Order: sequence, then structure tokens, then C-alpha cells
Amino acid sequence: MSHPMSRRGFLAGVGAFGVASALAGCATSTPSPAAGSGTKKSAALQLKSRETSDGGRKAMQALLDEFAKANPQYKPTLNTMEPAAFQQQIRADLTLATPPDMLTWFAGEIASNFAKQGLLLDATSAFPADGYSKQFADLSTDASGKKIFVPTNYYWWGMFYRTSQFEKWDVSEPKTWDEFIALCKTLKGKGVSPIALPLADSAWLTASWFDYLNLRINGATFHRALLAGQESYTDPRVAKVLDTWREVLPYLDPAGKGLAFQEGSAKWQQGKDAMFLAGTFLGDATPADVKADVNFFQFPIIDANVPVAEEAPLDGFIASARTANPEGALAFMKYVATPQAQELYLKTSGSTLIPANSNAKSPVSTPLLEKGRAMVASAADVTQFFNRDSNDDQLNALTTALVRFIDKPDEAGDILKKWQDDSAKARGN
Amino acid sequence: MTARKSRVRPWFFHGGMSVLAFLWLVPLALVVVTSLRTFDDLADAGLASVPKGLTIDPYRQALDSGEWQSIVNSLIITVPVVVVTLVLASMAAYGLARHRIPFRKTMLLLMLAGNLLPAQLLLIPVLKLTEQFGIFDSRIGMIVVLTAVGLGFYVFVLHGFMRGIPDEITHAAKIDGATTFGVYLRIVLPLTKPAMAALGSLAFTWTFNDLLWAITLLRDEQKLPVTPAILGMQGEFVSSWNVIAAATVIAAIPTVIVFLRFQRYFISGLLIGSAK
Repeated sequence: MSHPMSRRGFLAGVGAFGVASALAGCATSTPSPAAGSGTKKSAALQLKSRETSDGGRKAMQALLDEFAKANPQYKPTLNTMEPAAFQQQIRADLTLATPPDMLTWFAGEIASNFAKQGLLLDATSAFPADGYSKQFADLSTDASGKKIFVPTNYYWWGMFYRTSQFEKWDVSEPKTWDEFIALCKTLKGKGVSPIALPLADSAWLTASWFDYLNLRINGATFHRALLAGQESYTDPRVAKVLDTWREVLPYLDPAGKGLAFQEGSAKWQQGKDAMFLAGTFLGDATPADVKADVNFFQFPIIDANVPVAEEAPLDGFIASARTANPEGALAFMKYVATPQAQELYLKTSGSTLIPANSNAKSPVSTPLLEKGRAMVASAADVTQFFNRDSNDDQLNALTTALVRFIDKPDEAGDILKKWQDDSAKARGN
Repeated sequence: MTARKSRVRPWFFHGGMSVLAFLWLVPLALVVVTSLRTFDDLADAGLASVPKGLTIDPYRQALDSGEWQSIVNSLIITVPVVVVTLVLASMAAYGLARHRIPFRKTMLLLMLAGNLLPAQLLLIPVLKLTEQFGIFDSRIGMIVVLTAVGLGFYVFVLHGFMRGIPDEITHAAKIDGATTFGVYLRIVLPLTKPAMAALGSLAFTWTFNDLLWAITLLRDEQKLPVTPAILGMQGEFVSSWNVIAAATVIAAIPTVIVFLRFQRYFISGLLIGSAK
């Protein structure tokens, strides 16, 4: 009788010992935020950022430091997460009982979806009355008219090249599609691979080609309707996009399929590939002595009757609806909307970005930056980027279709049918 | 005929093994070489090129960017997980293998079945559970979850192993007056040592190298173990390959030490388990 009892007692004891030793192992861990007292909790503010680069981290920290100086009642902390993990975690993050208070995010469909689910804090009171263009204000507004996003900066896409290489090859920037094709031909004739398109880990780059061709051929209105599912990928207008792209395929670097983005950008930087359709992040990744040599031209005009649209992805902040400290989060959102905050961020990060508040000046003005700013400013319309304007499932359908198209350009009809299927399926669930 | 065969065979074996070993080692060597190059050299010439020079700078950068803290975090999580897992699993296995506990087969099968579920299926429910219990985003939560997730497998393996211990030994101990727990502690545990050592080193590696649970259950940068910390060194578009390679080499050191320390048990332990 006493036997099983004592055995059980002993087991319980050992179990408790195990847990105790586990607890002892974590003695250094800080108490969870939930354990903090009420007053303490409302002072703490956590910013979750996906800027993992050195400059990005420092710039975020600088923002928080400046914010805390002006608002000493709040104690902001920075938490940085690798972008892929960040993207994966954000849905769960926004539904946590103690979520991060502010998060870095971008304008577009996904933010509106979060808002639809009631996950985002209404930032209307933090949104400045002037400084933002109507377009940026619209992009920050959800379906019910609330501001849910505060934009801080944007970058642009273009056909990047190195000035010294273009001089060496004795070629100049093309304006129209025909000039562009002629340029590709000339470059190939000189033994240079004209266009870089590394796909091994960045098949999403194909979306930039699709976006631009569609914008140049069919215009931004059709592009948006297509992405929203109101038009079909089997439409002859989409077939025309692929037909036009087919003219360029012979000029893509044939090794591109096996190259990672970083290898592709290195090859472009070395002048082995002449041009790279990319965002400004391409130039930011080059060594300091190359930066001044980086240049770009606007994606060539195909149909002069179509109003020119450019891709200018807009980045900024959202705040969680479940934050324990909505006043603090809103105060921070108000701060990052100011020209001073945006200038501070750009100065510290050193990235080629344009402040979203039109009252803000670029702290480091380079010819490249001014050229980009002028291009976006003169555009009749601005889009974000394929997945920002739709979502990641739609982007998957696109990459499947377009990577296949690069391999088998003759099967365009089949590919578009399958694309429409994939797209509809992704919309269904 | 047979004499000739036995002369050819070792050559064949050694030839084949050297090729295989070479194939195994090439990626590792590439990582080590990459970790010793400068970023500009890599960016200019690409990964598959002859290095211009070697430097230990990437290691310094990796450690400066907070890798120490993340390795300490990894150990804070891994060591308790291994200890608690082995204590609980050996007890459960002993109970299931040597006692007529009702539904012991069912229990064992349930544990095994739990292992067949893909971890991805459990991510969200477990996340919500840890939030309810207030151990979300804490290292204790990681320890509890990683222990629970692995337990079924370890019980199953140890159960098979313990059934191979002759009944006579435990009976003799009982006749000499040993309690059930005495038998476990003095007879079964020492005999299970090789299997425990093998499982311990496996558990160490698996827990130390876990990434999925870490990025699901942890949020605070200061608490992240080494695997997500290395992931965090990657930029969205461009990463310093050399620093990441150096960080991976550093992160591999603890598991290599554990494996070297326990490798003799590892081979014998797994063999005994399989011969049952």
C-alpha cells in the first residue's frame, strides 16, 4: 500500500525538481510584459521592425530616441525581425493579447485586409492635414474611410545601369520600346549580356516586368482591375503583354535562372549584365565607390497614348488595434509623419528613399535621387507593386506562370489559362 | 574467386567512401572558406572563386552583432530541454516497458501518432495555448513546448531499448529488496546509459537547431536562440554572406562538441536499440 504511494510521491518530487531546474535555467529571462503593472504597461511601447540592415536598425533606433526625448512619458523599444519571418509572424502578432504596438508595413491590399478584420488602430487623428498628396492619403485609408497607415518614405523602380559602362559601350538611354530593343541588340552584338534577371531565390522579380509592361501597354486602370479579379488573365490585352515581353526574352542573361538575387546584382555591378529592372535597393547594395556610378532610366514607353504610371512602393507604419497603449502608439504615428522624423530616418539609414511627406527634404540629395523623384512626380499614376496591390497568393500564381513563360514562350495561351485558374483559386480561399 | 573478391572489395569500398566523403565535405569547406573572406571580395568575384585573401574579420563581426547572447539563449533553452526530456522519457519508458499499466500499448501508439503530425499543424494552436498560459515569448515557454513535442519519440525509443534488458536482472534486484524506483535508478538507468547518451545528443542537436518553434513562440530579439538570430543577419535583398557563414560555423561548435563527446555511445546506443 505504501509502495505505490511513495513511488508516486517520488515521481512528483522528481517532476517538480525537473521543472524547478528548468526555471532556474531561465533565471536570466526578463519577466513577460504581461507581468508588468498597469501603469508600467501604458508607458512601454514596442516597435517591431523588419529593417535588418545596419543602417535601417540605426535609423529606427534614432526615431525612437528622438520620440522618447520629446515624449519622456513613453519608453519605446525596438524589436527587429528578419523580413521573411516578420511577414510570417505579422498575422499572429496582430491578434496577440499583448501585440507589438507599432509595426513597419507597406501600403496596399494587405494593410486594407488587416483593417477589414479590425486589427489596425484608427490613426486618423495622427494623420497630418497637409504634407501628403491625395494619392498617399488614399493609400493610407481603409474601406470605411479611416486612416490606418502612416507613410514615411517610398522608392521607385527603373532600369538600372552603370554610367561608366554605358560610356564604355558607347550607348545611351532609350526612351521608347523600339529604342530599347535596338539597345539590347547593340549590346548583345558587343558581347555583353543586356538584361539581368536572377530568379533562383527571387522569382518575384518577374512581377516587375509584368507590372511595367501591363502599365505601359494597358494602363494603370486595367492593371488594377486585373489584379482585383475584375478582368481575366485570358484577356487578349494580357496576351499582348506576354507577346511584347517575348521580344526581350532573347536578351535576358541565360544564366539568370540559376542565380540568386545577390549573385545577379554582383554580376550587374561588375558590368557583365548591362541593365537590371529593379528598385533603388539595387544601388544601395553596391560598394561605396560604385554608388556614384549607378544610374537608371525610366521603363521605356510602349504606347504614347497610355498615361505614364510608375511603380513607387510606399513604406510606413501601422499600429495594432489591441495595443495596451493607443495614445502612445498614436503619438508615435504622429511623430513619424512629420518632415523632421522622415529626414532623420533617411539621413541615418543612408538608403536611396524619398520622404513621403512632401514638406520633407531629402537630407542627402544625389543626382540619382532627384532623377527618381522627378520621374515619380511627373507620373500620371503610381502603383505599389504586384503583391502590394494584390497579395502574396496572387504573386505566387504570377511567378508560376511567368517562370514557365520564360522557359516556354510559345505556350502563352496555356499559361494564361492556368494563371487565370490559379488566380481564381487563390481568390476563392 | 573469393580471394580475388576480398582483394577488390576494400578498394571498391575505400574508393566509393572517399568520393562520398568528398561530396559531403565540399559544402562544409565552402562555408568555412566563405566565412574567411571579405565581403567586397565575395561581391566582386562571386562565391565560386578563388579567395584573394583570408581574414577572421567576419567572425569578429558575427560575435559583435550579438551572437553570444543568442548562443547563451540557445543553451538556456537546450540544456533544460535535454535534461527534462531524458528524465521524463526514461521514467515513462520504464513504466510502460516493465509494468502492467492498463492501455500501455495505446499510450505508446498515441505518443508515436503525435510524432507523425507535422509540426506546422500545431503551430497556431500551441501559440494560442502558450499565450493563455502566459508563457508566450518566453524561454520557459520554449522549454515546455520543445520538451513536450519531443517526448513521445524518446519514450518510444527508450521503451524498445528497456524491453531488451533481461527480466532476470530486475527480478533479482526486486528479490534483494529493491523498490520499483530503486530498480529504475540502480539497474535500469545504468544499463540504458548508451541509449540515453545517444538520445541526449540527438535531443541536443534537434533542440539547438530548432528554428520553426523559435520564430513561432518567441518575439523579443533579446530572447532569440541562435538559429533565428542568424536568419536575422540576412537583409531583405542583400546579405553579408561571409558574416552569416562565420555565424553558422560558430553556431555549429556546441553541437559538434556534444557529438564528439558522445559519439562512442551514439553508435553503440543506436545499434543496441536496433538489435532488439
